[in-house]
Order: sequence, then C-alpha cells, then structure tokens
Amino acid sequence: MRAIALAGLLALAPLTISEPAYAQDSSAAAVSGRFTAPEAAAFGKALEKDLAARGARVALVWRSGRPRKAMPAGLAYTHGALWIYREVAAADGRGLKGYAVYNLYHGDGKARPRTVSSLVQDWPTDFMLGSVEDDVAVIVPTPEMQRRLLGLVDSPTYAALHVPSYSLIDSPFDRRHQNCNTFMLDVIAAAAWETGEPAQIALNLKAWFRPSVIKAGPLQRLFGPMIDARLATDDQSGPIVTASYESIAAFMRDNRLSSETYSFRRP
Amino acid sequence: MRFLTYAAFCAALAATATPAAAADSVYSGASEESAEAVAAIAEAGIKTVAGVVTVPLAVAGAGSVLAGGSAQVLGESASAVGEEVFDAAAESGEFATSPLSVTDEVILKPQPAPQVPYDAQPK
Repeated sequence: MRAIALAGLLALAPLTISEPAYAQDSSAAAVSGRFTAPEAAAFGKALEKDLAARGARVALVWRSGRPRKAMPAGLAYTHGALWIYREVAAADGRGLKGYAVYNLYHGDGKARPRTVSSLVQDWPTDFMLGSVEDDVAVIVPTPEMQRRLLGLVDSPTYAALHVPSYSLIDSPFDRRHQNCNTFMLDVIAAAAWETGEPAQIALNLKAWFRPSVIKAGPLQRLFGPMIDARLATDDQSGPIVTASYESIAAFMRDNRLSSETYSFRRP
Repeated sequence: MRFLTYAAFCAALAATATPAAAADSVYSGASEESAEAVAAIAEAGIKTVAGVVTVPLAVAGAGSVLAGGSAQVLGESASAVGEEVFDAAAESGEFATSPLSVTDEVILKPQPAPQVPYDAQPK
C-alpha cells in the first residue's frame, strides 16, 4: 500500500514541476521579498521617469509575481495594472505630479475572501514590491487610447466593469469571474469601442481578441478548484483561456491601439 | 496504512494547485509590512511623501477606486457619464505627446485612520 501511495505521489509530482499551469497574481500589495523597499521605490521611480519622458499619461504595466522559470510556456508576467499620470495632493498641502497605479486585487483570505476582488489604487513602490524579476513589461497606448482610458478610469464605468468574483484563470469571454488581466482587458475594450455594456464588450472580444491558452493537465483541472477556490473553471469550455500581457499586447498592436510595447529593466 | 495512502493522495492533490497558490500573497496594504517599507525607504535617504490622487469632480462620490473598497456602479447612467468624460478628455488639446515632469519624491500611501477602542477616562 505504501508503494501505491508513493507511486501516486511520484506520478503526480511531475505535473506540478513541469507544467505550472496558472499565471495570475492579483495580490494586494504583494511583497515578494525580491527587492528591499528602497530598491522597489527606486525601481518604481525609474519607471515613472521613463514613462514621463515618453509623455505617457496612461500606461499598462505588468510585473512578474512568480519566477520566470515557473511560468507557463509563452507567458512572462502575472499582475497587470494601469499607471496613470496624476496630480497628487501631498499631505503637507503641496501639489505633486507622478503616476498612480490602478489595480484589481483579490482579498487576503482574512478580512476578505481570496475569491473576491476589489479595485485598489496604490503607488509604484507597492507595485514593484510584488515583483520577483528585474523587469516589467510596458504597453503605452496611442494618445487617443490614453485619452479614452483616462476618461474611462475617471468615470463610474470603470467600477461598473468590475466583477468581484475572482478567478486565477478567468475566461475573457465570460463575466462570471474576473482577474487583474481580464479586468484590464475589459477596460481597454470599453475604451476602444466606447461602450460600457458588458455584453457588447464580451461579444467584441470574442470576435477580435485571441486569448492565451493555458496548458493544464486533467488532474489540475479536476482538483485545482477543490484545493484553491481561486481556480474556478466553471466559465471555461474546452481549453483554458485567459488574458495575459502577451495576448493583450498582441491585441493592442494588431488593432493599432498601442504606440509602444517594451520591457523595462531595473536600473 | 490507509491513513498514509489518504495523506499521500491529499498531498498530491494539494501539489496540483500549488503552482497557482504560489503566485499570490496576502493583503498587506496597511499592515506592519507597509510600515516597515516606509521606514526602510526613509532610512535609505529617499524622500517620501504621503499623497492622494486629486480626483476629478466627475468622479467624486462614485467611490470607484478607493483602497480596500469594492464599488459597483451599474446601468446606463454609468456608460453615459463615461462617454461624457471621453468627450471632455478628447477636447483637451495636446495630450500624451510631450515629456512630463515627475516629482523626485516617492509617494506612499498612509495607513488608514487609527482604530483604537475608545475608552474614556472615568471622571
């Protein structure tokens, strides 16, 4: 019997090592430990200056909350957020300029369930503290798309697009769940088509967006949701599909919604 | 022996989900970790400042992006407001075409208002 148990473990173990299927990281103020707080602050400020030099008022930025070697094939980043150039009122009354970060984060499992997300605005240092790699990915939308995105984020439509039910492997074509990347895709789509109607957005995305396909073994699909409630698959039919930096970058490039796409390394 | 088999099976099941679980950590927004980060940044000689985004009037009251909150505004009115803001932004002239200035100070979020149980000194 012991041999059977051991055999079972050995049979399943390779699935976890060779096929890490999921690539999401909507962790609120995640602290990866990769950078000290001063390093994260410097990394964030360097990216702020890079974006400012390019004149970007709105940028889409992704970090990797998991080591790259543990990522599924073809995917390099986990958590994406909007970086928006803002007037900031300092506590001492001064007016400052810098980038604010607009995230979708899931709960911590204590105050809020991990299967429920909320929209949170924080700052570049918070964003970089969650990175485990020395680079982030950046998409600079075209000026017209920046205008639209800014208008959208500053409108109630932004919150209306949010679906609180969180899934690490959310389908971009179904609104039962959402994660940081599918939320950002919905925001981009709402700006591109100038609509806040979820059904219209889903219809449009189905026609024009090519999602990332996540390889998942049958055991991961079957038992994943039992082990981690964030791995909901009830919105998936067929292969597991979701939105990622890679698929969103391709969508924006193919539809002439972005000016630049690049990787930014920590100085 | 049955227990061993069961334990092995559970361990294997847990392992199937581990790749996803490893991607996330818990919320630490206004916790000790945040305080430690602020202290470390200050000790490194980096100028810091607590700040809040100046919210446009059109958004005030919508409560769309408050830390820790989850707001939902549904219905056609949300879309209509959004379109108005689109138009307003589109009329703003030069946009996203010339370099911008950014403060050298690192903007950080303050912790939430204190929540100390109130126990007034008895008179």
